[in-house]
Parts: sequence; C-alpha cells; structure tokens
Amino acid sequence: MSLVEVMVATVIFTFIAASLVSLFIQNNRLARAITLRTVVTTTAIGVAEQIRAYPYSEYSKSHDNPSTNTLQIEFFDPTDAAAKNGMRVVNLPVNVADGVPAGPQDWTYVTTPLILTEDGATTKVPVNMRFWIDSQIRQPTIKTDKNGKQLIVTRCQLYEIALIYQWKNPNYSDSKWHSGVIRIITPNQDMNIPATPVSGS
Amino acid sequence: MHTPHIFRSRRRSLRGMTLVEVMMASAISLIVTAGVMWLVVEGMRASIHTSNVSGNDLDHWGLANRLVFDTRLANKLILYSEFSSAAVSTEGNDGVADAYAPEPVGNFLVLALRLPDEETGVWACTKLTGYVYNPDKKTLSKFEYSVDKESDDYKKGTPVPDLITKHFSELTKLTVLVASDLEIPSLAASATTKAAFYQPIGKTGTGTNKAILRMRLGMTNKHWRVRDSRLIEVAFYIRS
Repeated sequence: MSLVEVMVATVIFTFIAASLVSLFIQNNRLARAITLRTVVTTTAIGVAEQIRAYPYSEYSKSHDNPSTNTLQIEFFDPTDAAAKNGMRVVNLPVNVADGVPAGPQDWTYVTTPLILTEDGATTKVPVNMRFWIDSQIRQPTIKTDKNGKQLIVTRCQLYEIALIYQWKNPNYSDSKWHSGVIRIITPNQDMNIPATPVSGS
Repeated sequence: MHTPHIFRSRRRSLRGMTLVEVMMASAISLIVTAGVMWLVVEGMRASIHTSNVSGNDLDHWGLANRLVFDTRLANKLILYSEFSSAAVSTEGNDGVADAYAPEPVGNFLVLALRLPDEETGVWACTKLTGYVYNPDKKTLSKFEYSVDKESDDYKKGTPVPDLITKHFSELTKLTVLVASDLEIPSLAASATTKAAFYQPIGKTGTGTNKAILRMRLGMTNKHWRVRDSRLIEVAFYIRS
C-alpha cells in the first residue's frame, strides 16, 4: 500500500474510533444517570413512606397549619458529623393545602451524599434534591343525581398527598432539574364518619 | 544504452521497502492497534460497569420491595442489636429502642404479626419475619416462621422475644440469603454505633412504628473502574 492509502485508511479509522469513543462516553453517562435516578427515586419513596408513617391526626396538623407544623423526615447522611446515628433531620412543610398555597412557597432543598467515590469512603458528588408537597383532604361524601339517587359514596376520610421531588444530575454539564411524583394516601384509620356526610369533594 | 521497461519494472518490484517506509508503517500500525485495544478495553469496562449498575439497581429495588411488602403483613416491629438469643432476651419486647436509646440501631429486625385468637381472645404471634445483617459476611438474610395454631406458643400467646429465643436454632436454619455486598458505611458522627437498621424514637421515648435500612451497596470484589457503589436508604413502617 502506498502512504496515501495508509493515511486515508487511518483517517477513516479515526472517524470510526471517535464515534465509538463518543458512544462509550454516552453509555457511561447514561449508566450514571440511571443509577442516580434509581437512588433518588428510592430516597423519595423513603420520604413518602416516612410521611405515610405519620398518624392521620399528626399529619392533619401539618395540613392545617403548615407554617408551624412541619413533617420531620430523616435522611441517611454518613458524612454529616452533626447527624445523630448518621440520620439528618429535614423539616418538610406542606406547600399547597386543598389547592391553596400554604406554608413556605419554596422548595425544600436537601443535599444527599448518594453517589460515592470508587473507594466508597467519601462522597463523590453531592446530589441536590428538592421536595414540594401538595396535600388534599377527601371527606366522606355522598353525591346524588337529579333524581336523588346516590351516585358516588366515599366512606373514607383521607389525605391525598402528592410528593413532588426533583434532582439535579451532578455529573457533566446537566443543569436541569429532573422531576418525579409519588402519590400517597393517608386514610383516617380511626374513622369517625359523620352521620351526615360532608358535601363537596 | 537504455534498459528495457519490463526489466526496470521487475527490478523496482523486487527492491522491497525502504527503512523509512517500514518504520512509518510500523508506527501507524502500532497506533491503530493501540487504538483498537483501547476501544476493546473501554468497551468491556463500560459493559461491565453497566452490568454492575443494573445488578445494583435490582438489589436496591428488591430490598425496598421486600421490606415494604413484609411490613404490610406485620403489626409489630422490633429491632435488636444482633441475631443472637442473648441479645434478644436482654433487649426484650422493645428491642434496642428501649435498651440502647438514644442509639436505636441494630442488625436484627423482627416483623411480627400478632392477632387475637377468635375463640380465646388471646393475642398470639402467628408469623415472624426476620432480617439479619451479618457484618462479617456483608450479607442480609431473611427468615419466615409461621406459628402453628395448635402449638402451645399460639395458645398461650408466647411473646415475640421468648418465641425467638425458644426457636432460635430453627430460625437460624430457616435463614436464606437476600442480598450480599452490603456494608455499613463509616459515620462521621463520633460515638455512634454502626448498624444496618435504624428505628427512630418517638416523643414518648419508645421506638416508633418505622425503621430505615441504611447501607452502602456494591463495594466488594470489583475493580474500582467498573464498580458502582451507592448509598441505599429504605424507609418502611408498620401500618396497623
């Protein structure tokens, strides 16, 4: 082969190699992004479980007076020297109660050390998460049609809670907030159904 | 006198290549081979790393689902410092939440289903589910034990700690591996006991109905370049 042929072949190979390298890098980024999404979603499910662990009466206080009664949620943070037992307490307020803005009108920011360095000893990059709670009470209702026939009977008193969580991918130049929502039902297990159902929703 | 064209051509083809040509060809082929090798190695690395990520994702979700599902079939949660008869009998009915407060952490979680008997009204444990973390093996194991309704334990309503100590060897045999490659991370907070499970203490000073599994997943037996290590946190609670 002549030198020209070899050089042409090399150039072609370089193009192919460059595209493969790009593919590997993208693959790696995607794998890390998926890891992050799984970890963040599981953390958010943990937050949802902790909210759901609140007794109905306790949760009611946060729903009714979100400025003064917040939900205490614990996050695992082994890197925080002030975190007792490695658990950091974060106060989550209800941001919207029954469709009306209530409590602080700002996200609750949490920085978590979810992704570790290769040696596992320290935090590689802190993951920024933020939470927003939209809470709605559902009262026992009986709706009737124009003939007086009962159409919908809801015998349960409950809270419908939407936990909106967002996170930022700390790697590379991704500055977007990625979102997810978890919906929780907190029923009143000590149901004291009023004799006359409350009208409305 | 000119050499005929046919002889000149043959002589050129027999000449071979110059040293410069050979060296250039060698250098180019070396670069190309190095590039191909790098691509192969990086490709394998990316593939193994992705595989580890998927494996950890499955372990992570699997643990979360198991714990949340098992808590739905229980109405009592007790956390003990370790899986031993001595620890269970010492720590009693409230586990570490009472014995070691304010550090309610432990490596042995018990989820019990206790119901009143339809005829006698005696509250008896019908099912025990236990999660055991072994810090030496870095594994999480689980056992499920059903109490026979004809047994004395059921009829007399044997308390959970007594049930565990009485049938400890049987429970050990029932233990099956749930997840491996789990470590308890070092905690920055000094004077803190390291353990897999944490049970928050309520306002009354006793353990609440929720617990959290906090671990580091994916650290052992993998080269750091393909390792996917992460903190996992699974919160769960007793519903009834």
